[in-house]
Amino acid sequence: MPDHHGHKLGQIQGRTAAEANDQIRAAPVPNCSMTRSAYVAVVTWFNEDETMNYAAIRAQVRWQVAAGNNIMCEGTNGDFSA
Amino acid sequence: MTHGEKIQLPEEVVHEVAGQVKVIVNAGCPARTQNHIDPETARVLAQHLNIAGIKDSGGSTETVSEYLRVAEEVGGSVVYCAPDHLVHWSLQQGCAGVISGLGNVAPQVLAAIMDGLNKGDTAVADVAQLVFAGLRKDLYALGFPPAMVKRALYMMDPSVGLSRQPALMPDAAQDAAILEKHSLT
Repeated sequence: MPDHHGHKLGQIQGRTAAEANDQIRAAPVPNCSMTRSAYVAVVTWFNEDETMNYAAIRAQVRWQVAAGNNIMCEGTNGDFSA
Repeated sequence: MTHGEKIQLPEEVVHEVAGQVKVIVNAGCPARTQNHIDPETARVLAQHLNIAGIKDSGGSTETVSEYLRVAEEVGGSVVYCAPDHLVHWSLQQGCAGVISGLGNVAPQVLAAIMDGLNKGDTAVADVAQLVFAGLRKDLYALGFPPAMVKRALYMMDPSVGLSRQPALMPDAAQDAAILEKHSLT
């Protein structure tokens, strides 16, 4: 049964999953592989008024990179609702 | 739907959602979402080329092992592990990487685990992992882990600010004792 866009179930924007995969293979996302590494789910630094403390965030990222870690943001540790 | 009820995710829905974005790493975090991504569901997800892999936050070594088996069988899919007491174990099993919360507080310890592993020095990685797991046990025993991570950082550097509410505010004396025990003050 077509949905409200006229697509049938099992189709992606009118294409089947197999057709969608073929298109993805033809135009892969560059440099999206992640090798064996550690990513720190960074916290978000706030000023007292709960605005973002960008200077401290930059310092935190540099601290992590200097230690040899990678960064992941907007996780549970990052007060993602912010 | 009742709490803990198993959800059967229609394969068509998976492909419909995945077809709209470029790269997804599915996140299994039952402690926060009350939903567990079943390994067989992970198999369905892994077959879509826009889905790069899965990150497990559940802490079950059995589940991680099953995800790894699925990833190997499907091919082109990776598994990331989040619980900080499983960094060394998960990478030895074949996980592509780890996502760490505790690394905010002790980045050098996390890096030491990785360095030991990548250089083949498992003894160094083992020692660093024991330190990491001990800190995790002591710190997370006091409250909601993300809030405890931020609280520990706050004790080390108040400029991090506080967790946004509603986050439980732990006892400062307890925090200080833990940080001192782990040489983080």
